Amino acid sequence: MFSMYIDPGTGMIIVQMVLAAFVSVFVFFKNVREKIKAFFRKK
Amino acid sequence: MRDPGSFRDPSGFIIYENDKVYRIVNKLYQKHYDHLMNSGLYECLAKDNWLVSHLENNDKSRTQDQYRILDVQKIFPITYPYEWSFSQLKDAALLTLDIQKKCIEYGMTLKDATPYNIQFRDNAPIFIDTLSFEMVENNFAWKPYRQFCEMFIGPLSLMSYKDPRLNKLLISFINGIPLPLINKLLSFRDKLRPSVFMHLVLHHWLSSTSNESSKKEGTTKTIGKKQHLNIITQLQSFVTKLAVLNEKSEWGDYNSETISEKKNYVEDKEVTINSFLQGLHFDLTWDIGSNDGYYSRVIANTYSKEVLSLDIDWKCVEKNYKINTKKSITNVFPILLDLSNPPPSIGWMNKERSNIYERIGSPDLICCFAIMHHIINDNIPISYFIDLLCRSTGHVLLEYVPISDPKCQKIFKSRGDDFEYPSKEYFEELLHKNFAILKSKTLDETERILYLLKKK
Repeated sequence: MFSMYIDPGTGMIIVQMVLAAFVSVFVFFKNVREKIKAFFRKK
Repeated sequence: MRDPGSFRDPSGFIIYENDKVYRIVNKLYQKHYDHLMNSGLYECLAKDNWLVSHLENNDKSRTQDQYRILDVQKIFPITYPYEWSFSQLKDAALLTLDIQKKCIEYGMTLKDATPYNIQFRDNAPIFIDTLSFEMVENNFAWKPYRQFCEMFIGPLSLMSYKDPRLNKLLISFINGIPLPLINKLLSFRDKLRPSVFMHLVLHHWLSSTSNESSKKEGTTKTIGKKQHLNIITQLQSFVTKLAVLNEKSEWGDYNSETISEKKNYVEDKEVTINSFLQGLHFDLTWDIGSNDGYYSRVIANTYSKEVLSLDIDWKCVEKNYKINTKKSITNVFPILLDLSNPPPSIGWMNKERSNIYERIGSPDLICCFAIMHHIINDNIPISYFIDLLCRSTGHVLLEYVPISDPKCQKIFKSRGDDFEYPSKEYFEELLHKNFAILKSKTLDETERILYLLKKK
């Protein structure tokens, strides 16, 4: 149930869907960076 | 008496009776309250001191639409985000995110995310709104995401990238700094930071381009649990990395500079404070112009149960808070306060958030070390300053700074011939109207005088 006692703002869900996509890309590149770092650390 | 600021959420409200705090839970909120209590979430949050604890009160009578009455732990003092330093607001934001993550584990979510839901107890943030929790099942879209951005992310970003005093904007914007304004204030370079871009720029852009049809359409779309947790984790990482510019403030290094310049003066002041206060015990002390809280800690250590360190400078409050948290000092709490323009009453009918003097109690000791010349420099009559000291119900520790003092010479050198600074004799005459001078001593290396006063 969603009781809307605060105004979540226009297009609240769309904003968060786009944001979630951005965050996934962000997390993906962060993980790649960490893996590369870890690879060189091992060497 | 009903809390005049407790009306926005229809789930319940706060009342005060005989110095006790009660939270009324309306029947409207029954399902969510029962889930909070039965799922183990309440116990988990209260155990870690993340959420204020309560007891269900079965003695008080309830109206038809009331489900429960809770005896809530009282928090003192109540402070607001525009009275906090950067790290205090940051810690409040991080607690909100930690709690949101914990809520998801228990099938709940926060339905609002405002710093007014957070207070500080023992120098650690604590969530005070027991009715902010709502059950969540399929759609994990975070309803207060915009509120979180306007109340926490925006102010913290402005404080970090622009100026740490910008949390004062929250006095004007009780519901948070609007996204369009945040976007106007941030520079192009600031907006290129990935997190700023996502949460403030893109968020604003998407909100302003979404029209009513997309709002309706949005109700059929959902956000998954994993997607939501990714957003919260990213927010945590962003907030954790935020820091304030390491700029030199007017007062931030004052104490250490003074210690190196006038070692005997500082040592003698501490010895004198200890000798004046020996055998005295206080419940509440206001240390006005506390700097980094050095003397607040001296007093809190032996003489006072609780000390509120009040200072105009954000860097002093920041340093004070960090020292206290690092040393686990729980009875010295720093608050930002500009004496010449204290935080006013704001919100609906000017009653929703009360002014600072209504929230910081009635002290039985007021300390004012070396601030009278700054008050005079603000053109505040010395008699007004003494009126402020009269707010003490017992004692006052006061440092008189004569015009011959090097600091005064520097501050007042450009004043004209008609400028009059209170002499020691005139100052004492004024004090005598309201106080008895119990002790006085001229401090080493200076002509400054420390007084211990007792209210008549």
